Amino acid sequence: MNRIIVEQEEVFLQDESVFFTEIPNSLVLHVKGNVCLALTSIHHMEVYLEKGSHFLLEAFVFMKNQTSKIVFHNEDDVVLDFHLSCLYEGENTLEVNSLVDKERVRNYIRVRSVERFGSLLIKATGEILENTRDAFYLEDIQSLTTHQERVKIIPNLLVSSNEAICNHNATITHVREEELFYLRGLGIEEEKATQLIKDGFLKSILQIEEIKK
Amino acid sequence: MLKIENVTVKSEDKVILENFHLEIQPGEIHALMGQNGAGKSTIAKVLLRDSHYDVQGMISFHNKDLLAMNTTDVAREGMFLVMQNPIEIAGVSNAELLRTALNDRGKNTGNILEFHRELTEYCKRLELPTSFVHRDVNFNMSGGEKKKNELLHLWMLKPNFLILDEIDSGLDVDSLKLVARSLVEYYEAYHPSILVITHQKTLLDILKPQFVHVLKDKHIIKSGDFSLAEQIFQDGFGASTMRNGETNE
Repeated sequence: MNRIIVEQEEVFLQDESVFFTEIPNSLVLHVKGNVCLALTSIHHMEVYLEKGSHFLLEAFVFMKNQTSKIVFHNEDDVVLDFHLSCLYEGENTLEVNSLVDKERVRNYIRVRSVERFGSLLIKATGEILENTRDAFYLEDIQSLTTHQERVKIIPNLLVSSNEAICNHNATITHVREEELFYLRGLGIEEEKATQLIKDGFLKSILQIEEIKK
Repeated sequence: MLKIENVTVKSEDKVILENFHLEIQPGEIHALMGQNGAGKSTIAKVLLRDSHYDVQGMISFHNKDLLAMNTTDVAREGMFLVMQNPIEIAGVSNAELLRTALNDRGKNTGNILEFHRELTEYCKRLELPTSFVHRDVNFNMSGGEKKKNELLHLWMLKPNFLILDEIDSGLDVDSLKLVARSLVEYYEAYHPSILVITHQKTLLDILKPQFVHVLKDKHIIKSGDFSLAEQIFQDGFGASTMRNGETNE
């Protein structure tokens, strides 16, 4: 996989696997054919998936007092497989939007977030418009936090088509007291025990995704 | 070493233990027996300072006020609880957990090779694959593997006071023998105090506790030597739960 520092604000990708180590604050991406992209940061991205494309987007990002937005535009016969694993500090907002008004579109959008210290607002919106035919849309958002009130997930499914299967799952998980008790019972400080559990949550998600691939 | 005096334990205003007394000296093995729901596991969790319980009375451990300590402090003083159902923690490996625990106890694990060698050696002794070093803590393990995994932690952390809460539940005959043998080896090597909670004869036959206590009606109603356990296994709790000094007449 090629490792690239992206400097321009518009990038065309066709039948390739790339790893963007750095991207500009605003990026427009055009995807054609089979493309696999890995990212370590997201600020504002518009992604255009051309007809027949299959796009695997894997992002592992650290957010700190950040607002990020990613918008997917789908053409006919598109498969989008998007995994975002996010660790955050401070106040953050993450928006993921997907617009579908074509035929035979498959969107799988999975977001996993783990709090270090701070808050996160996740807005995930799938707009399945009237012209859509034979589409599948999945939005699966999971968040682990020590303070439930610091995480807010707003999942939106705006479905105007009768020919689409749409699913969404939003879960906010608290660090379990039993796990903390178990780790502290081995002599580990509460703060370190909490960190172990949170890091473990993220690692286990990554392991599962790896096995799936 | 451990002294529990006149302890009352409540959970959500329900009294679980009352007027509970128990004293355990260094190197002693005590068995706590009683019917299901008598409160045996509660005392184990109370000693590890589970915050779900409201505890009144006096408990001292190593001449320190245990009720003034938190769970981490108690563990660092040398107490170690093997739970009936060990918790699974996804994404945290045994190696990571033990390195953190040892470092937090002030035991240097700087020599990674030595740490790894010791860990794999204990895996072999417990007949666990050495891959267990990097397995997530108790995650996707069978009941027997979980108990052996707990013993792996025990050998690495070397506590001086063990609470074995039905460590034998869910074990097949071979696993039970291995677990018991490992506990005996640990006892012979480090002479810890042990409080064993069990319903099974096999484990007690191997560990041979010097003291046996029967928990009923929220406190210990009878104490004796190993013959009391034998009597319970033979006659059940009915005949054995007459208080010290009581007779059938």
